[in-house]
Amino acid sequence: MDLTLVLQGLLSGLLFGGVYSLMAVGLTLIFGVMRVVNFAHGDMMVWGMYLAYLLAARGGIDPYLGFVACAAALFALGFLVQRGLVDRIVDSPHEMQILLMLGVALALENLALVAFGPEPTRVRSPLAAATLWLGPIFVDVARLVTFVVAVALTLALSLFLYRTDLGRTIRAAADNTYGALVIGTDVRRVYAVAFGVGAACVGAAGALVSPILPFQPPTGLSLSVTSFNIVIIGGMGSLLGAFVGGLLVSLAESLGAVFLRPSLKELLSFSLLIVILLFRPAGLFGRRPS
Amino acid sequence: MSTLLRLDGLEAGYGDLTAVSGVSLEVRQGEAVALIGSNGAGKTTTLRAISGLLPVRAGRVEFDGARLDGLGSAQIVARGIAHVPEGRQLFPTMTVRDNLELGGHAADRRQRDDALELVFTLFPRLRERERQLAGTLSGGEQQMCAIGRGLMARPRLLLLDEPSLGLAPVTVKLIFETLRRVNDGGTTIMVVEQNVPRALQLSHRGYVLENGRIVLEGSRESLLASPHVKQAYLGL
Amino acid sequence: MRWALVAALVVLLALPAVLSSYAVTLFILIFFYGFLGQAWNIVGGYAGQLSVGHAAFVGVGGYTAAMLSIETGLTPWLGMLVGGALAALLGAIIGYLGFRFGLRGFYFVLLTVAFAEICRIAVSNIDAVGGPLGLYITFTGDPRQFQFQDSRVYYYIALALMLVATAAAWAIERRRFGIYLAAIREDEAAAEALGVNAFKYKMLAMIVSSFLTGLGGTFYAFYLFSLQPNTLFGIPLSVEIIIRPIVGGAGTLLGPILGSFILTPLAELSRLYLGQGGLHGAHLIAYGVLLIGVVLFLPEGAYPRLRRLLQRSRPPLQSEPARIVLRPPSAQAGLTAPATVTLLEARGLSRRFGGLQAVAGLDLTVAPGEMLGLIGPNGAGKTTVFNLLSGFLTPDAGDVRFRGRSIVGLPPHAICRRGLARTFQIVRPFPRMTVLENVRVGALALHPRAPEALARARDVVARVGLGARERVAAGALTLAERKRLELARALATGPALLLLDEVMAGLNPTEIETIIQLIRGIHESGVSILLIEHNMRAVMALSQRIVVLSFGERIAEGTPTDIANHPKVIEAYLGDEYVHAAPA
Repeated sequence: MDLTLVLQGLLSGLLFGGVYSLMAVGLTLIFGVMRVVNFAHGDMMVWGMYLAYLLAARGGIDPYLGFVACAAALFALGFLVQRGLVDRIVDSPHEMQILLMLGVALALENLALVAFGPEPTRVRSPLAAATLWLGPIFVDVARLVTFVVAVALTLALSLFLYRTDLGRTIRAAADNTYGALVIGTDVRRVYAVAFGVGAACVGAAGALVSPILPFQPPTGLSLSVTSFNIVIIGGMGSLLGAFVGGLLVSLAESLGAVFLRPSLKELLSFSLLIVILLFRPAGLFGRRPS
Repeated sequence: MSTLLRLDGLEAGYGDLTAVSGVSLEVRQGEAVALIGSNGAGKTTTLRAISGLLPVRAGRVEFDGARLDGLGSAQIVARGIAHVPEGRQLFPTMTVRDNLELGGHAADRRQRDDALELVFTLFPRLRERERQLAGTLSGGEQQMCAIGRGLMARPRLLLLDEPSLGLAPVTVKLIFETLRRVNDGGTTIMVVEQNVPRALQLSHRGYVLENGRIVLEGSRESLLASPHVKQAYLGL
Repeated sequence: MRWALVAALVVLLALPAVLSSYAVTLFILIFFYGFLGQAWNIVGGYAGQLSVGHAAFVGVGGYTAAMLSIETGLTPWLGMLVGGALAALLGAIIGYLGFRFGLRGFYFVLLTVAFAEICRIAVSNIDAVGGPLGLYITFTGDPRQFQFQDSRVYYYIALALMLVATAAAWAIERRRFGIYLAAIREDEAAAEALGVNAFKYKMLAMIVSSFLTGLGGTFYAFYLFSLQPNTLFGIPLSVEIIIRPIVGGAGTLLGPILGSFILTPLAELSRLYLGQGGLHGAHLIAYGVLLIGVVLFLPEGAYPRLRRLLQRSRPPLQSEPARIVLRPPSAQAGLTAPATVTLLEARGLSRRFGGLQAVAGLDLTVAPGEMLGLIGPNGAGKTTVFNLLSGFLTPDAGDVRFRGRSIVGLPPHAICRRGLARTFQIVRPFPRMTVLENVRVGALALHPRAPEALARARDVVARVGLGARERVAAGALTLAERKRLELARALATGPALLLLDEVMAGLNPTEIETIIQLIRGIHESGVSILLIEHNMRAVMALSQRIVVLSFGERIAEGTPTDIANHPKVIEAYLGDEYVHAAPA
């Protein structure tokens, strides 16, 4: 057993975990506040990647700067999806919400397919080529930067939620929507903002990941599933759970890639999902859903 | 005393069900008014309609001369009506302080702190529990917190939906005494209750709601003496 | 309506004579996806369990038949059945895990997706079944190998499959199975209280659905001659399977068929005209937009909307004259059991929620033929007691014996079938069913065959005075009518003991009088009653004996007169100031 390989895997996994955490935090926010399961989460992330690609290819903007624009664009998308679609079925049975988001996922994925084609794309960033050496292990500078920015964004999000009035209102709406309504909160606006912020997280995550991973429209599905995996493990609605879960899952995947065939890695994560679903759908940190 | 709140032929309900119909009442500035009735009479529906939590199907709601019906709940709160809902509806994973502060609107930090101070003076127990999570409070403390949250908005009218629900008699006594102090301080109160003795003790006037209609109204004394009230609600 | 369907069928049978071969192919696809959609409809529409992993059953069925044919030469006609059986096994496993562990909605969807993906990845990695490239079936044109030169034969097979699935759905719809599924879909807990074993029926639906879907896999394999794991087990196929019934109308008989007739040509056309030059995904965008549109504007699907437009009135229920004589109420199952000294006996019943002791060491008995009142201030624990007695909650301690046997730990449906029925404090009608259909669900506990259950339901509905409102949807009833419906539904199960939870709440004095008479009538017919009430007048008028609860404990017990003057009772309700004010 090559220790270097294992250490490499661990480091790689940890660094990538930053992105997973950001992605999962976005999903858990949307669920925590609105009890909406965003089936289009992975597809939104793919759009973040493609937008970063467009900015880089057409505008010459490095993804490590462009992620701001991607986040803003996805914020708008999330805001509109909530305001225009999800809001209309608030009183409908739960299944309707699942089908709605499935429809959004289908539309987004195939719009990307039509717009960008099925071939894998990658974004060129000057940093992507650089590597650092820590003894026997090497670190992609790109991965390092991605990790740092992703963690910084996650911290910024928690500052927003815990230190600002709007953030506190969002948390209150997540805790007890009717209570928030009673004290005069514009709940519809809060919902739209929350969805927008969740989508912005995943848009930024997409942009940050675009230089290190090749992507294509069908990537959206596996990203969605990974997001669900992380959020269910960490606890639906728990930000800390999503953060920790993201790191854990990324580490597990990375180590899995060291020891197993890459396709079996996915098998493992689906099996893990089933086990968690059966025994702890509330996750490590979360509350049991109603 | 001028009229602060007036309901005229209010009709509201849920889906196909009309829960209240033809409800007319008024609350004058500075008063404490009770709306009493048993389970399912339509008391909560009435309060929700006033607060904009439920659409008004017919009739009018006037507050300080201006129409409220048709406005959203956020706007109605901004006009100066605070609603302490049935079952308290606090934010369980947030602290008492957070819960209270969420009830306030003042952008000004100083105003918010003043309001908080007022609430802590009325409910010293809350000051002790300031940093505690609202979900871990006892029933009585939760009710205090819910009332405090309503008061943080410095409302002109405070609506309370069954504040005595699920509380031990001694706690109910304390809460209603505090409500008396709040009313004495100038805040107009409308309290909806199944606990008729307590509600009438607090109030100057009352209305009796049955099956969504007002069947009786009068001063505290006349209601306490009414044979209908005695038989139906006082078990006597 | 029937004649229109027969005519359509005749047309479909005759069509191949006049259609071009491309058109025949299109129809094959319409029928095939209609078949798969109908199979899904049984569990996804009728039972309301949203599965987005049905492709797994297609894959299992197809691969099984193909492998059996390739390796052993077994004719796919039989291989189809084996494939279906294996698919049903997988369905049973998924269903068991999902339903036993209480996975609903989103979690159940994830479970099905996870299983489908696991199958896909596993099969991709097993070289023995072709690995990622899949299997190829050599074309021989031998009918015994399920291969035909003439595509028109496939047309008739696909049509037959669609008709078989529809026949299965039809058979289910009109029997107890289907009625129970509809009840589960509307309100599972309320259904349980009426004796419906939700787990069993959901499992059955899942097994039937997955079996039929598995059959489809064989057709797929031997029509297209190739199987790839990514196609056969993939999410895109699962989406194709579910979108037709959803657009057409999930939970209806013709919905999946209509949906396929609408969507399949659309998909094919878009694939044809937009498929060139990178626009492969165009029809899927349309699917996405359609799904969104259906959810927002046509949530029941196209077929129900269409049906309402075409038909002015609801089709009358198939009411056949009851050929059996309904036993008069007093001879109901309830009282033919060996007489026990007590009908219901609870001892030391306790239950806490977190820090709150909701019920503490309660002893309660109900004698056969008794009417017992249970009163107490709000929060005293009365409904918790009902939930404990009826199986919706398990006690932390204590025992409950009904007709001499312990019922602690039994699920609500089993307790209902032993003769203990209940109503809910907040009424829970099945909103989209009519009054009669609602009560029929209860009656099925006594008469498993739908026509007899309907007859009994009609009888009970008349007894509670809702005869004139038989055909009205429960969602349109007034509160008083809903209360009577709730009562009728529970009564239809033929209970020996009926638990009534605050039946009077929200009723005006006239309505209360009527219900009091009704309850008296039920009691006189031999049903014992335990009622929770806030309305003092009603409790005093009805009860032979009263138990008073406060903070989870029994504080008094006796006749109405005893209770009215009991100082502890007055104190609990009104506070100590009123203890001395109570008249003698």
